[in-house]
Order: sequence, then structure tokens, then C-alpha cells
Amino acid sequence: MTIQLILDQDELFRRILDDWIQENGNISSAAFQNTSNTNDMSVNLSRLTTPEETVSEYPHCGVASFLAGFARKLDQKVLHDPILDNIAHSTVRGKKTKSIRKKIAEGSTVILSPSK
Amino acid sequence: MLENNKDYCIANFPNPTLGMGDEKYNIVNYGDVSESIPLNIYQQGTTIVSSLNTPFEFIDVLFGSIFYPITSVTTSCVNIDIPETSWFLNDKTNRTIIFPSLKWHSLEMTEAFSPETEVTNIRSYGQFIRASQKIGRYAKYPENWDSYGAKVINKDCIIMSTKIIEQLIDLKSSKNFEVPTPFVAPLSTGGVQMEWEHGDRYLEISINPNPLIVEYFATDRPKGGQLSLEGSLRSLSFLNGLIFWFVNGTAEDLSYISPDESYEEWVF
Repeated sequence: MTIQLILDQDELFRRILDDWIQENGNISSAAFQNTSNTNDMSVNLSRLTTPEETVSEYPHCGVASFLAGFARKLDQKVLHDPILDNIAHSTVRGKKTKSIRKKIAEGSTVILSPSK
Repeated sequence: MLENNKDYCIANFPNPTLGMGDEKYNIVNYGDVSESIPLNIYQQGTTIVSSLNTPFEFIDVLFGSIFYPITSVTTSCVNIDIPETSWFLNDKTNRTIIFPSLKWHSLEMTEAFSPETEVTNIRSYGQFIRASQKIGRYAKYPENWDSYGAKVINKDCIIMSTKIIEQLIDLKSSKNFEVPTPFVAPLSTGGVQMEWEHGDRYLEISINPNPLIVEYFATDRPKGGQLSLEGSLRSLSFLNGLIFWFVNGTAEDLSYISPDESYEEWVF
């Protein structure tokens, strides 16, 4: 698998749950936590996948999108990190303080709504 | 302790009893809870949180039912149909639910028997109760519920979260203060998050496991900048202070909030 260079204008997909969508449509910062005991948050690189493919194994999930460059402005590293079943898999690496998670949430858009 | 009254019967009864339908009012009494009763019972999308000091805190306003523990997790819940209007009396050690249409003056009479009795119209706290129910449902979430390897929601976090909701209800009722209902969300670390947001003003409380810790994050945008405050939340008074700030304070007030860490008030 070839490692891709992720550009600032690349969109990143993150699966989200209905639990994280507020009544006004905003996304909770709870949706943007690092995997436990790591500095990494998993995303998919949009140009290597689709929103539908991103949730294909998790039909109850929706998809939020944000720009790689936006995450980088928040002191995050964005790396293509393909895994066996998912060549689009990428990592947003860096400490996610409450402030940073809130900003990522504010900079994200729901592009596929989760099921209720 | 509460006493009998011609309109309704309230007894200091250790086991739950239910007044039957041919009585003027339906009554559920429940008192001391034995240690064998589990602290938390989650059933049918509803939450019961019990402890030795607080038999349980649960009223399902949405679906019009009450569930309460009797013996065990699997057989402990009895579904009682509850009419449209219900009243909840809390004398700290014993609980009584009376319905359907007890008048306010009757409730004041019961209050006279027990100075600590609090009378609450459940209806006005429906949103808080729904938030509490939502938190209770997190207990059913399996491992990897977020598709990214999330942990099971920690039960101590659920208990703490419902205690905070209870504190918000107390604040609302005791100070006659308009406390906004938080948005609640599960955390992939096994915790629970509460959020309030209005314009640029944002307050977040997260209850995290291992070890159990309650943290806060408050931020606002005064002219030309951004003020943020975060740390561990250790006292009820500080929680109240944050809520007061969120509702009534100015952006600049955030810089004057300081944790009150007096020993007596440490609860988190």
C-alpha cells in the first residue's frame, strides 16, 4: 500500500453517532477523542473512500468531515496510515485537549447523518 | 416521619407497596434499601440509581411508568402505570410517589410532618429526567460502541453523572434559578460529558473513569479575545458557580472564577 501525502485541503471523514449530534445539528466535542491511551484519532482520507464506504460496516454511524489543514492549525499531525481492510485509514495525531476537541467539532460538518 | 392522611396513606414501609386503582390516589412507598440491592439497575431504556442513602432516583416521565428495585437485577423491576400528573416527595430516607392529582395544599400538609420534605413537581424537570435517562442507557452500550474501540461506559461515571443532574435539579428548585438542561454525550474513554452552549459561551463537564474524576472546561469570547478555564471539579459550590457564570455572568467574569476547595464541600 502506497502512503499518500495528505494535503491541507484534503477532507477527513470521522464516523459519528446520533448521541453526538445536538438538537441544533452541531456536533459534540465528544466525537473527537483520541483512541484510549494513544495520541491518535482515526479518520478516513476522503479521496480514497466515500462516506458510505466509511460506514459500511457500521450502518448506525454517520460521517463528519473536516479539513486536514484545519487539524494541522490545531497542532495536530495528519498522517496516511492505511490498514489491512481500509486503505483510506489515516491518523490525526496529537494531544486532544478539551479546547482542541471543541474546535475540531466546530470545524466539522455532518455529511452523512447517523441513524437515530 | 410522614403520617397517615385521610386523602392518602403514607407509611414508613421498608418494602415497596402499591396503592391499587380503586383508591383515590395511587401511592408507591419505598424505604430502606438493603445492601443486596445493586447500586444500578438498567432496564427497558430506563435508569434506576440507588444507594443506601438514596433508595433510587427514577421517574420515567416520557413513558409514564415507574420502575423500582425489589430483589435482583433480573427480577427486580415492576412496571406501574402512572397517570398524567405525578408528585414526588423526598424526605431523604424514604420516598413516596403519589398520583394522579394531588393538590398543592395537600402536599404542604405532608411537608408539615417532615421539615426536610421536598415537594417537586416532576413535570417541570422533565428535560433533566430525560437527560438522566439518556445517561442510564449508556450502560447498555457494548464495547466498541463508537466503532473506534470505545470502552464500555463506566458505571461509576453514570452514577456520578446522575448525581450531577440531581444537583442541577436541586439548584433549580432551591434557588428558583433557571438552570439550562445540559446536552449529554458518551465518551469513548468510558466517561460521560455534559455540555451547555449559548453563542460564544461554552461550558463542558466530563466525568472520566479510572480514576473517577470530574473535569470542567469553560470558554467565552470577550472583546477581541478568548478566555478559557479548565481543571478538576471538586465541589458542589464550584459547579454551582460555573452554572451561575454560564447563565448570568459576563465573559470577563470567567477570569474571576476560582475553585472553592474547602474540605467540607469536596464531593467529586
